[in-house]
Amino acid sequence: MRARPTSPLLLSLAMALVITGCAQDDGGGTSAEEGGGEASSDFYDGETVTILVPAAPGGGADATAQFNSPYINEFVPGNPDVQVEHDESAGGIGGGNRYFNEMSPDGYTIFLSAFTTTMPWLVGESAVQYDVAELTPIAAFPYTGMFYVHPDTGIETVEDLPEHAGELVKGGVSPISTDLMFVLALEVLGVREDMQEIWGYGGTGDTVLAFQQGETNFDATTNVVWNQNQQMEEKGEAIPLVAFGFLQEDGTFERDPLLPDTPTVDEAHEMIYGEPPSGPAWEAFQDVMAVIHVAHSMTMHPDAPPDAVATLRSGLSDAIENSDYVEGWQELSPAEPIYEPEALDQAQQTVQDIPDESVEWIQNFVQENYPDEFTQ
Amino acid sequence: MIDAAGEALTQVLSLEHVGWVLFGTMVGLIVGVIPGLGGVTGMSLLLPFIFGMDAYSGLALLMGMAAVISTADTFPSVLLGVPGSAGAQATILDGYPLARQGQAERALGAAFTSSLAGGLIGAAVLLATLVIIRPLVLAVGSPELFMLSLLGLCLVALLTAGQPIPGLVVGALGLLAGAIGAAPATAEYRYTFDVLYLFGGLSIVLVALALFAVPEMLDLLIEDRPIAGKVRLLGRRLDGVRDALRNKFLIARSSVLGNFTGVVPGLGGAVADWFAYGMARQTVKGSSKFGSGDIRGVVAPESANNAVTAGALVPTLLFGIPGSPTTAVLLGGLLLLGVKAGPDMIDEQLPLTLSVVWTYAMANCFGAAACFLLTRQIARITTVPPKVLVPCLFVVITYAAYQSSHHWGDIAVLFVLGTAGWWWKQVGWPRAPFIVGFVLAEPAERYLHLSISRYGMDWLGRPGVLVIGALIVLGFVVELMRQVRGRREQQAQLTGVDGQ
Amino acid sequence: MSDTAPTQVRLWEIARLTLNVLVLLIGAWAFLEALTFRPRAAYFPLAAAGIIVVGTAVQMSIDLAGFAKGRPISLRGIDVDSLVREMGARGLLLALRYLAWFAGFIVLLNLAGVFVAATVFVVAFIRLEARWTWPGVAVVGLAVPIAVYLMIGQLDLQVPPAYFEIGHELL
Repeated sequence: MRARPTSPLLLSLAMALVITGCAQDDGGGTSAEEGGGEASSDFYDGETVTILVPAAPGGGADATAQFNSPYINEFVPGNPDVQVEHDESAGGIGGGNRYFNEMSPDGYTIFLSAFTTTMPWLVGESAVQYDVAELTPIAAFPYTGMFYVHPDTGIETVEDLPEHAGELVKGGVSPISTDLMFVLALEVLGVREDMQEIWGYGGTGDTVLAFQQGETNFDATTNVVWNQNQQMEEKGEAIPLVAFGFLQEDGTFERDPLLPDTPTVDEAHEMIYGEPPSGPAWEAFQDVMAVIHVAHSMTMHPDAPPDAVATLRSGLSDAIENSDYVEGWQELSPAEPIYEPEALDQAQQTVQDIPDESVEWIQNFVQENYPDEFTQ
Repeated sequence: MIDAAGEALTQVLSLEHVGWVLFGTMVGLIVGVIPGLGGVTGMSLLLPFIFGMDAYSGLALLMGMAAVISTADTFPSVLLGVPGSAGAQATILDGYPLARQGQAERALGAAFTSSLAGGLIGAAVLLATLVIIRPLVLAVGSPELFMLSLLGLCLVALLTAGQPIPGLVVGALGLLAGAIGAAPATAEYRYTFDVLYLFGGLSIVLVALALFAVPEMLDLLIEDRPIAGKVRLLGRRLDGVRDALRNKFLIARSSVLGNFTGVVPGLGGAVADWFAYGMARQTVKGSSKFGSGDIRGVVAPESANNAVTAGALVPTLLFGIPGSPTTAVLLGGLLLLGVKAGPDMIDEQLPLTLSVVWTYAMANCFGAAACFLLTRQIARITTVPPKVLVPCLFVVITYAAYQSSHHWGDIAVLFVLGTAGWWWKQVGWPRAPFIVGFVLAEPAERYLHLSISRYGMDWLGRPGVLVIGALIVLGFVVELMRQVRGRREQQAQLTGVDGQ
Repeated sequence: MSDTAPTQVRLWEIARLTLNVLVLLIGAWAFLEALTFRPRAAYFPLAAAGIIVVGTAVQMSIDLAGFAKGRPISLRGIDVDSLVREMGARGLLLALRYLAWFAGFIVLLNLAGVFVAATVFVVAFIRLEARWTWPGVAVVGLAVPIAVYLMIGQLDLQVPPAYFEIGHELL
């Protein structure tokens, strides 16, 4: 992590890098091209690959793993069987610790590095015993967030939000997990303190369920989970309120193409308060979103055989370039997966480059508002 | 629903699926016939092998096994007077006397017929329950789920354990064992002694094998029951079939009773056969011969204990709260297959759920057919001396246990916990509550936490919570009455048949 | 159980009391340990450990009161009857003997790997314990490694590491 430049470091999405294919390796690359592995059809021949998901089934991380399973089986040389395993203990941190320290780094287990493990690491939770920066990425999947609300709350558009915030109940895993972007967005919109927040769900899949069961009436989730549960809107059980969209170089957000009529956070702020958002919470939110867009990835253990990484990467680029992979993925999230080694290094660098000021501000913010949920 | 049923049926009828069901059935037959080993052991032996399978095949294997245990466990009950598994104890009361009167074949014939009928009725009622319960499922929130977990734990501890206080203590020990490793809702590691092996928690397979297989194997060796020559299969099987058909209403009643016993979390497993036996004894005409070889004393528990597994699937699949120790291990299997128990099972995953129903019915047919056609061959398994069988089994169990986390700690835990389980068994402490507590630890803690942070103390006043709470109290009252009656009988110096 | 000699019954009653003490200690330790967890992770284990401590204490006082007055403690659980219990001390000694066999197998597994351990254990057991004749033992001795090979090889199981992994390269 490095000090914040004069203006917030706003990345042009790594997606752009994928498209232009430009390699701007600033020396921090830790990953495979130095390991010099070679793709080989022997490595996975007749083997089973496990994708370890540090969240409960039914959420975004699970969706990524399930989406990739058939492609790994079809395109990775050797055609390994694929198995998805879930470990949502300690809000996902348990899964990360287990992958890093207990499982054999034999190359047969892929770690789905999700926000449930990346965010606690980013803010320096003491229970974290893994280092996200050391993981070798195989492919990253751009995510973003969104809010939806139950019609019974009387909220129709985001302008009604402040008025009804006191009646809203929201479920989440932990404020230092996927929910970090959500609490920051709610803080920016000035409604966080009025809402009732319940922590301790097993993942975004569980919070959707709690919403459907009427236990909560407001839910914050990733766009992928929303796109899997769109039928709620058709049935009149949910109204999309804010869709975070994708961060642009100028610090504004472009609307999520799959939710073109739903305002982004900055638009929502303008609709409510008549002016664009500013201040440390907004800057922290922007920096966190830059991470959210690139950090969700399939990764390999740092000590895994280089051949494993090379084989998986070659299989995935084959799938992405020669099948309906991208179209299929874009039904879940509109941005294209990141899979070229240079772009992956760049993405990983983005995660590490989150400005120290933002991290410190977030740490103080969480410590102050959620003392039970965070131990530094 | 009908579309889904069709989709499930095509899945189920594929060659691969039928193959897995057959394989599961075979394992179930063998495990069921070995005295003492039942669904829990069978399930834990199969779990390491479903790794990497798709959900349909994996469930076919597991359900094929689970469906036939209670058909196969009749062999030792009738032929040797030893329960084949926990659910086959009531069958002994009349089945064994019948065998000694030279009517073993008749008892077995009646048992298989009622088992098959019970299994099929169970599958049908399961299907109906899934349809009826559908609107209920989304009305159940964290408070109700917590209470359901508590209900399961209390009932298994109180009613199925024989000794209520040790039952509760063992259940709480299970909760503690389930708490080893990372806490569910917050970033904290508990009871790990800083040993890396314990950070991920203990595996359900390991706990189940240690507590249910190892003690039974030790007892088989120690008892070393002399096999008096060949098991004698006398009498006529068709008489038994006719007996069963003559009692079709008894079968229907017992099956439905078994089914609903299974639906109540925690009750499924070891009590359904006793309930059915008790009901038959009280309701049929001329019940004085019960206990000395009345065929209806075989028909009733055998139909009930086959229907109970189907019932126990309801809370397991829909709420993730196991109905019995066997389904507690099944939950671990669902996790391995990446299937999330919950409302999705009757929504998006409906075809999968229905495939379980089809599989269950299919496996019951396979199991009954195998028992009929291969009676002699299967009966012969009961004559294999324990001192030959057990060492081979111990090797298999050790190698299977190692699959839970690929660590020498697995084998160490198997040995230590297995020894402890044997100790518990000998001094009258139950083991089933441990498994149920172990599986419920994580959801119970999570749901309790969510209930409190969502509703404060108000969650206690929700109607669903009150109803389930009343059921728990009822469980305590029933057990208390049973204790008082037992004390009185003891004081009256009554000795005789087992008081259950 | 009325025909069981009193001394033999006492053995299992003492075993039960010992188990009570042991579990009480575990419960108390778990309770103290739970006090150091952060509040949200603490209350659930506190409750479980509390039930264990209170439950064992109550059960132990009931058992002890009976024991002191010479009344038998009911050892009957869900099991209809236990032959082993009626065997008294002999049952316990046999249990220790077979546990020693199991432990021996595990040690051997750690030394010589899955093939040797399984074969030696099964062969030795049925020769020395089941008293099979040598021809039968020889057949079993051939069958076991093949069965192990089929089980582990075909089902793609992991094998525990050993000092001398004899034959492991076949898998």
